[in-house]
Amino acid sequence: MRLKDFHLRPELLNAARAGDRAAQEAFYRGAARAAYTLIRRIVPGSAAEDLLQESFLDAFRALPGFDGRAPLGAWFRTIVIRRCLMHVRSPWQRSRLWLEGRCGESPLDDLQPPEAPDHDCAAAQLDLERLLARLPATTRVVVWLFDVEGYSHEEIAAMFGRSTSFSKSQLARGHERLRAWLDSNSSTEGAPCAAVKL
Amino acid sequence: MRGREALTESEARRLREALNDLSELEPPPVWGRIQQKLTRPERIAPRRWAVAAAIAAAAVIGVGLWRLMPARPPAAAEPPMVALKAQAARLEGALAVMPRSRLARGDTSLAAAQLEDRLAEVDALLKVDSAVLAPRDRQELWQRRVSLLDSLVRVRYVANAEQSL
Repeated sequence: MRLKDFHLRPELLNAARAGDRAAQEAFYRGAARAAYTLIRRIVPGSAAEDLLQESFLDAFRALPGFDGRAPLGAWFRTIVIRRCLMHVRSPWQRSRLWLEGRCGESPLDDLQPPEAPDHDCAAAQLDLERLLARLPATTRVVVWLFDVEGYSHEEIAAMFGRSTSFSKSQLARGHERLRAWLDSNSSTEGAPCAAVKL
Repeated sequence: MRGREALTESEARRLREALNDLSELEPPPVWGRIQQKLTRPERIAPRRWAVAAAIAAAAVIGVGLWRLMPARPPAAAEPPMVALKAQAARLEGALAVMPRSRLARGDTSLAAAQLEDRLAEVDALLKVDSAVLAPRDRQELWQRRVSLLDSLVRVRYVANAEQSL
């Protein structure tokens, strides 16, 4: 389930809005998996856990003002993405990411694909995850928001306070780097796994 | 090896599909921590005499700190790293003479602890071999260090003011 598709029954939503702890827990249980997946794809490092916690706290604090004009999942997704962008764009995080890049470390480096002479689904997915995690932070965010979350270049540009050409060039850069994955998986046409049907 | 031309429409679509097919991830169990933060008791409004005492205490600490701060900004001709290190030393001097409040509000204590953690991380990064860390990046880290020390002085100042409430 994508986070934007998350919803709560109206009575639970009203109770959560009023601060009812059980309803808030239902909110958490329903959205945590999708929220964490989104966060980890944008911020692959160890900060994802803190970002998950802070996103829910932001949501519960803002929930009394939620007017229901947007679907609940889309509203919460905006909160999660805003948290992630604050993290990615903080000067401290940028200097840290720069150092990690310089030392050649990646949060997924310790994950080894299963040994298999031919490409299987798990190996192909892990390859793609690793390549995605190795993209520069801003590029990775743009690729994920555009390709998976379905945001337009105009919306992404607004989130970053930049022009649409910024979003387009970041996406092109990301695609260019992910091309290696397309090339290495192009021979598996017709495989049963959706991720390696390329 | 492929060139640097943009992905074709078909390649972009296949890539999009593959990204969409990546597995969902199991979240860490953070509900307990969220609940703990949500149930933190509200702050009790201080009485008027306590506010006056806090203002007086803050003024005393403020004057003390002001005396420890540099009287003027560093000269323009001074090399940035020298100025940053001097400023860091002055702030560390200020921190050394400030009492560490144990009765501050949870938020204030947490902020101070987070700043101290970040400071420790910056210090660890500054110990990285100079062959790896370029001079410009080293300078950025020193700027960050000064900024964190400055924030820590301000937070400790608030914590001490709160202690007298």
